Amino acid sequence: MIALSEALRTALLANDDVTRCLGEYIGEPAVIVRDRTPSQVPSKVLYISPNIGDSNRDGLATYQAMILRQISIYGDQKDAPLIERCADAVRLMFHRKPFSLSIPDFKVLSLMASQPVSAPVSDVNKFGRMIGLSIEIHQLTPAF
Amino acid sequence: MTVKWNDSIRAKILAGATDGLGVFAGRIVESGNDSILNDPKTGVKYRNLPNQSSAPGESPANQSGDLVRSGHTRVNYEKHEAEAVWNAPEAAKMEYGTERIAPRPFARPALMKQSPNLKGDVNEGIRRRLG
Repeated sequence: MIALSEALRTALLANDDVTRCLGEYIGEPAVIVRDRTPSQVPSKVLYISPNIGDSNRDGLATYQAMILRQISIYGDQKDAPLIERCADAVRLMFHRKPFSLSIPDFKVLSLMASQPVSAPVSDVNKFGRMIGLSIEIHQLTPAF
Repeated sequence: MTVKWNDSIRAKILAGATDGLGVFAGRIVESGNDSILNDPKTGVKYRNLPNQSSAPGESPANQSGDLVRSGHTRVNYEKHEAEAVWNAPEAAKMEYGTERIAPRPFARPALMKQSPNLKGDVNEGIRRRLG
């Protein structure tokens, strides 16, 4: 199993430029792996998506894949400059920096982060930015 | 055989490549719509909606049909571009999520699934124009 979500969360929590933009959720900066949207989240929150898509690049005896993830950061409209700074910090920490992620039993071969773009919101008083991550990983131990 | 390069050949190649991109964009729309219509959904079954809803991470469920009907392609022969477009109001909110809704992606997975066909579609488009 690829512990990618946990690796992303650990990396994000270790970055002060990111965490200082966020509210607090259960005693920690609000960096949430999103399989559901929890209730009672602070207004300034960062979500790590599950896999948006993946394509297998397996060899005969190796597992290798390109995985798409999305990081979304939301806040109130009044916090827009802060959210934009946070999104820039996220891109900066990941773009072309495969060593920024440490995944047990896997090597990150390449990591590309898109420029932050506007994220859809359900409430006009909210503001969001999102970054796409393309992560190519290779399993270090034989897969088959 | 000798082929003399000229602007007419260049124009045919660009038009053929754009034809191919249009075909490829059509594949993405078809694949995205197929995932909406046919992939299993494991979310909540609401009484006021006809089908079981999707869970986060799954492609959206087909409820009103608006999302699927909104899928189409746009081909621009001047810029040599093709787009796969879903312009229903909920399309972006489903694909990317919002502060309240977790993403239900259907377009990007379709792009990844179809990407091996891109080269072949462009080659075929060029071959037809030059043929």
